[in-house]
Parts: sequence; structure tokens; C-alpha cells
Amino acid sequence: MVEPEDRRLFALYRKLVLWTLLFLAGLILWVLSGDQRNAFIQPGTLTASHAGIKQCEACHSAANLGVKGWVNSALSGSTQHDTKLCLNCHELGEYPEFAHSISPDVIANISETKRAVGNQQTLLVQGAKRLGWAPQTGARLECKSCHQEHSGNHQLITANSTDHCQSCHSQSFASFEDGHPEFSQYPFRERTAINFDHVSHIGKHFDEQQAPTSCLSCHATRTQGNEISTLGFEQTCSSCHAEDIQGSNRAATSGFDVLRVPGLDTDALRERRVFIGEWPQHADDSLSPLMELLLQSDAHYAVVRPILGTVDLMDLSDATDEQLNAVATLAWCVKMLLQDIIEGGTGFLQMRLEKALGRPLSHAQVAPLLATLPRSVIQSASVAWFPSLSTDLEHHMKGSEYWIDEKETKQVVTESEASINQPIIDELDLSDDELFADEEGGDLWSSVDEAEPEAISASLAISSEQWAKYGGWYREDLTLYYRPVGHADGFLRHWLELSANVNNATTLFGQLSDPKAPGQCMQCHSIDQADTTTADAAAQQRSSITTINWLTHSSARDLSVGERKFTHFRHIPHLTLQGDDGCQSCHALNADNDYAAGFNDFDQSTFSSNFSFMEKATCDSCHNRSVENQDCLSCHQYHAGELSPAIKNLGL
Amino acid sequence: MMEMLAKRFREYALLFFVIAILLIAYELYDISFYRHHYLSGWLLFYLLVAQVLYYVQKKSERVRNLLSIQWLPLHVDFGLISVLVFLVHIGWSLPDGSIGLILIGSFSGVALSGWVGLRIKRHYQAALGRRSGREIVFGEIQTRMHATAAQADELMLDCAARHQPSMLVDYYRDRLCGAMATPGNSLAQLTGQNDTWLEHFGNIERLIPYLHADEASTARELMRLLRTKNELDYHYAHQGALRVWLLVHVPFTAILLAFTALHILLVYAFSGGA
Repeated sequence: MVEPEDRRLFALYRKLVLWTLLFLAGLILWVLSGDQRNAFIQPGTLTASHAGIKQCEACHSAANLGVKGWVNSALSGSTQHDTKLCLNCHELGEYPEFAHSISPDVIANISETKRAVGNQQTLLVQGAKRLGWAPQTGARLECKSCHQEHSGNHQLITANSTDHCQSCHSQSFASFEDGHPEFSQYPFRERTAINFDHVSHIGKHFDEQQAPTSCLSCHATRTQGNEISTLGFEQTCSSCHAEDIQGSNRAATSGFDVLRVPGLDTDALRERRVFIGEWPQHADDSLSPLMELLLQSDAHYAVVRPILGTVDLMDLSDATDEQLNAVATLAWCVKMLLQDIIEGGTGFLQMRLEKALGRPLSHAQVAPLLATLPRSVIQSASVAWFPSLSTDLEHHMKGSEYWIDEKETKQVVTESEASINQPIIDELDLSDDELFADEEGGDLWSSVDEAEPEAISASLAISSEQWAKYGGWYREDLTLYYRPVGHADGFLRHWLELSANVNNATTLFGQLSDPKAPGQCMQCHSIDQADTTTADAAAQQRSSITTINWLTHSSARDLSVGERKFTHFRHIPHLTLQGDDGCQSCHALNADNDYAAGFNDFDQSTFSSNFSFMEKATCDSCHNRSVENQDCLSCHQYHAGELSPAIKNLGL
Repeated sequence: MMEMLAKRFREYALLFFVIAILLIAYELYDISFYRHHYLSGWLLFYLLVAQVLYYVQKKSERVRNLLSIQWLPLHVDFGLISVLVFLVHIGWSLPDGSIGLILIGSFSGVALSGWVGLRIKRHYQAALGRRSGREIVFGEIQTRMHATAAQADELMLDCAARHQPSMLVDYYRDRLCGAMATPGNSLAQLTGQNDTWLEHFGNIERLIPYLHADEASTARELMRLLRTKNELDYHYAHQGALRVWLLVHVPFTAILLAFTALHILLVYAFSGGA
């Protein structure tokens, strides 16, 4: 039985609750419709990382909606995928919503190889896994799974617990000290970018005068980074190796042969009456690889190229008519190339290169290759090699035949063409040139005198190669050379990079990438080749990407090797912990390894380090439960690799 | 006594078991990359709804009969669990958002008023039980106060007719007349610091030697009526307190429920981001 007094009290409660709710509803609606709405609904201040964001809609798609829109969004769950808004600012690669931002297939492969037999995971982790709550391989993870915002500007948005990591990993353990697997080849997952043998240099090459006094003679600690960097060439290697690059010590020629007139069996051609016009009798070398690359874009050369591969150009005595015709085509193509370069300049060379490479080249790509090439160099080379090049080609274009009969010093020219010789000579304006002038005028065609270049050389005190001691262009005999200016020579570097991944340029790349080639770039800079498989509708095509490691450390190189992406190490805070052995406290030299053997191929993963691999015991002497933090994130990073921030396209 | 203690032990054991299970489930949920706030939030919401049912069953006999349970102990136990779940939900720290602060304030209001109400109920009910005399129904207290005041007024009018002037009548007119018909000294009654009535008794007793014999007899009758008034004040204060704390508890509950609804709406509408 409810007392009347109590009944009155209940009536009072009812009224109180009703009026309270009505008042609150009105208050809430008033606030939500006003300017203070966002400030009112904000659940807390942003972390310092996001403190600059002022618009709610930057992260929440519902922010622009009204209360009705919120109800719809809440019921439909449409805002559950606002992770995509995070990606407007955070570039996480191709798989941003998958574990570690990498392909689920890669994760599955890693899991397969890492799966352990005996786990030491915590009871909670075991429980979560038994309940099926632990995320499954290939499941999508929203950013909010790990990153919690609006928790105050003193909070770290990247903070995460070790148990979080362990809930996914098939190989779990209690802590770094207790159960973490022994390191595998840490910290060296691949050979070094620069082929520098610490053991042989320290033990053999460093003499008393030039020996570095400490590791810091060549390495530096970068206060902003995690790595120990290597100082530049000038500060480290140049005192001993600068001359190697300039070629001062070389027995062989110190220049890179750019253009060369190939040697041909002109006697056999003449005997078989195959017309090639004038040709230097003393030419006895093969085409330079770069010239061969330029010729590849000539349709005539492309036709005969396979035939030329079957014949010895210097001995055509047994050649078939087809082979002889192919040789003649080669000869005319070489002449045409020279003539076109003189007339078309670097624009023509760019066109030839683009045709040979099968892709357009930008100004930035072409400039380092051609900018240093003076016209006069090509012109003088052309005049020296083929004094009557223009006339020769004119005849050839008209279909007339003539050849030089050296024995009879007689030219056989059809009557109709005789009249055109002189004007072309005038055009060239070589009559005053003492090198090419002839007392009798008409004897310009009489012979290509191989004594002429020698005469020029004899008149000079030093050779062309000596003249180009500090690098640049020079011509010797029937070859035009480029001599590297010094370390990081732009010309050689760009030709190497250009030819590295082009099928047509394998010969050129082979020549340039020879460790003993002029400049000796590959003596120290390693080359990586990675097989790539391109998914094609018709078939899967395998190809390899060649990368030249110009820098001592390359982030791009890191990204190419799976597991290293997950580990980071900051040298700076550890440097004060060195023992008496200094850097060798952790990085002990290992003289037993054959370091140089790692550079015999283009596979960076097959190597022997100069240093012994580190052991877990080195780290867990400090990183244990009694001394130091041993969270997973102390040494590992969740989002694999180095990721660039996403920059908004302003549509400028 | 032992049986009651055993029952109490069983109740607390069950409570701690449930709390332990909840904490373990929370930790398991947390390490599994799920947002633990959803788990603790929904659990908290269901606990609030269950506690609101306590009031519903008071008003609805159908609900009361539907579940044959002891509602108040359940309400109290759910309240205790709610406090724990709430602390877990807010991460044992104060949020700095407006709605968060309102929710914390209203939850704290509900929890504190509930705790105070529980203490009042247990303490004051025991105090009323210990009070001698028959049980006084709260609704009759004011009627009885009026009757007592009328008796006192009639007694003093009669005394005044017989003795002119009368120190007793003067004292009643100046110090007691206005207080007899209405409840008073509630705080003093609740705290046990009933100095006002003791002072009146002392003053009247000190007057008696100076009064006529029948006037002294009237003074003793007045002191009896004052004791009745004091008793009525005691019951009014304690029984009133048992009802008045709900005037805090219930509105805070309404505020909490209103902002909980808004909070849930905002969470689901805005939970896409981090």
C-alpha cells in the first residue's frame, strides 16, 4: 500500500524528471544548433600530433551533418570507414588497411616461415586467441584499432602495448628478455651498398701516414637520424683513390670510348667491288658500345645487325655477298650517323637515343649525357676520319659507285658525278686547313692517309689523353673518348643509369659497369638486381630491375628487403654505452668472412659481412625487466618501411 | 547471525567473481585490437538500464511480478559494478570534453547520491527501529503535529485564564508557540545534536519551582507534549531524509540517461576516425 505522501512524492519525481529531461533536450538542441557545437561535442583535446587540425570534417565524415544525419550515420555504420580520411594525410602505401601496411600475402608468407612450435605467450594472449578475438591474417585493421585520438595532448598517439603486438603474431613470447627469438643476421640483411672491405683496409691497405685514427674518421653520427653515416668521398677515400677515377694510374686508356670507326677488311670489299666510299685503312677496332646503341635506331643497320654478328669485319675474304652487303650497310650507317650528328647536333642525338631506348627522354635526362659534347669535337673527328664525308654520302645517295684504289691511287668516278665534288668541298671550307689541304686540290679524294693523324700527334708535345688529364673530351686515332672529371662524374653516372635497365644497351652497360672500366665506378658502387614479376592478363612477365647504389645508404634499398623494414635502431643513445672496444663492442670485425665474394653478382642478399652478426645477448644485457624498456615498439615499427607524407594536390 | 554473515559472504563473493570475469573479458577484448571502450560502454549502458528497472518495478506491479528477485540488493550491486566499469571506461582519468565532463558529473551525482541514500536507508532505518514507541507513518506526522500543537495551545490558554500573569504562558508564547505546528530541527534530529529541545526542557524545569502547584502541573503536561513533538520531528527528519535524497538521485539519473543517449549517438556517428 503506497502512502498518499509517497504518492505525492512520486508525482514530484515524475515532474522533476520530466522537466529535467525537457530542459536538457532544449539545452542540447540549442547548443548543437549554435556556433559552439563542435567544441561541445569534442570528446577531448587532440594529441600533439594532430593539434593543428581545426576542422572536425578532416577526420570525421559526419562532422558536416546535422543531428538527423548523425542518427543515420550511427545506424548505418557508414562512418566506420573514416580510415580513408586518415589516408588523406598519411601515405601508407598500397595496403594501408592491412597489418603492417603491407600485402596480406607477404604477411602470410612471413607468418608461415616464422611459425614457431613452442609459444610462450601470455595467458591473456592465449585466451584472446582461443576466443577467436585475435585478428585473423588478412583482416582489415582500421587506424583506430591502435591509434586513439582525443585523449589529450600529453598522450602519444603511437603508443601501443606489447600484448597488442603479441595478439596477432604466431610466434609470441613473454618479453624481449624472455622468449624473443635470437637475432638472425642482424643488423646486416644484405651486402653494403659500397664495396668497402673494412678488414683488408684496416689490416692491409692503411699505411701509417694515411690510416684513420678512429671509426669517426670515416663515419659520423647524425643527430637527426638513427643511422651512422659515412662521410663523403673527399673526406674518406679520395686521398688514395682519386687518381684511380681520373685514370692517372691506368695502363689502359683512361677515357670511355664514345665514338669509334670500326675496322673493316677494305681490301676484300674492294676486291669484291662492294662500294663503301672512303674508309680509314688503319681502322682495326670494333664499334664502341655507345655508337652501336646509336646505330640501333637506324632501320638499315637494324636489318643487317644479325648478319654482322656472324662475320669477322677484319677478315671478309670468305664472306658471302649478303655478309659483304651487310658490312657495306654498316659503313654507310656509320658515316650517316656522323654526318647527322654534325648537322642535327644534340637534338639529333636525343632523337637517336630515344628511338634506341624506346622511350622519350626529358631534358634533365639528356642534358648530363650530351651537354658537355662540343660540336667542334665531332666535326674535327669527322674530318680526320672521313675527310670527304659529305661528298661520299652525296654519291651514295645518288646511287653512284666509287671506291679508293689505294694501289693505283685512282678514283673511279662516273662522269656525271665529277662535277659535284668541288662545291661540297667548298661548303666544308676545308681548303685552308693545312691538315686536309692538298697541293693539287683534286687529290683530296686520292686517299685517306693514315699517316695524317700520326703527323698531328707527332707535332704535339703531349698526347690527347695527357691533355685531358683533368677529364673531358679527347680524340685519339679513330676513337673519340670521354675521360671522367673525378668522383661522381655526371656523364658516366648518367650513362650508367640510362643503360642499366634497357635491353638494347646491355653491351654499353656491361662496358661501363666493368669495375676496371674508366672511372672504375663499379669498383666501389654495387649493383643490385631484383627480379620483378608483372601480372599481365595474358602471361606473367619476369624482368629484373637494376639499381646502382651511388649512396652509402639508401632508404629505397631498405624498402626492397622484407624484414629490415620492421626494425629501427637509434645509434645516438647507445653510443655512450660503448665499452673499451668502441664501436667494436657491438660491431666486431670478422676476418674469416669473404666480404669481396658478396659483390661477385648482382644479388645483394648473398653476402658475407665484414662484421660479426650481433647477438640478442648484447641487447638484453640492458633491455631486460630490471633495467630498461623492452616493449616491442622500442626496436620495431608497425608501419613497415619509410613512408612519405601525403601531399595534397592543389591542382595548381 | 552466522547465516546472515554467510549470505553476505556469498553475495560479495559472487560480486567479486562477476567483476573479475568482466575485467578479464575487458583485457582480452583490449589486446585483440577491438576498441575496449565499446565493450565497457555498452556494459555500462546495460547496467544503467537494469538499475532504472528498479524504479520501473516500483511503479509497475507487472514488472515487479515478472522477475521474482530482490530488487534493492541487485540495484546496489549493479551500482557498485557500474562504478568500476565507468572508471575502466574513462580510463581512470578525467576527460576534458564537455559531454564527457557532464557525463562524469552526472554519473558521480547518481553514484554519490545512491551511496548516500544507501547509507541513509541502512542507518536511519536502524535508528528509527531503535526508537521506542510505535511506528509512526510518515503521512500522519504533520497531522499529529497539528494535534499536539492544538493540545499545547489549549493547555496554555487554560493556564492563562487561571494565572495572570504566568511565566509559563509567556515562555510558551515567546519561544514555543510558532514551532509546535510545523516540523523543525530536522538537521539537528538527523545529526543527533538536539540542543534546542534540551534547552526548552531545561528552561521549563527551572521555572517549575517558581510556579503555582497547578501551574507546575501544566508545565509538566507541556513538557510531555514537547517530547511528543520532538519524537514527531525525529521521525519526520529521518523518514523525510529517506525520501528526499531521491530528489537528487532521480534527476541526476535523468541527466545521465539523456547525455548517455547523446554520447552513444556521437560515438557511432563519429567513430570512424581515430
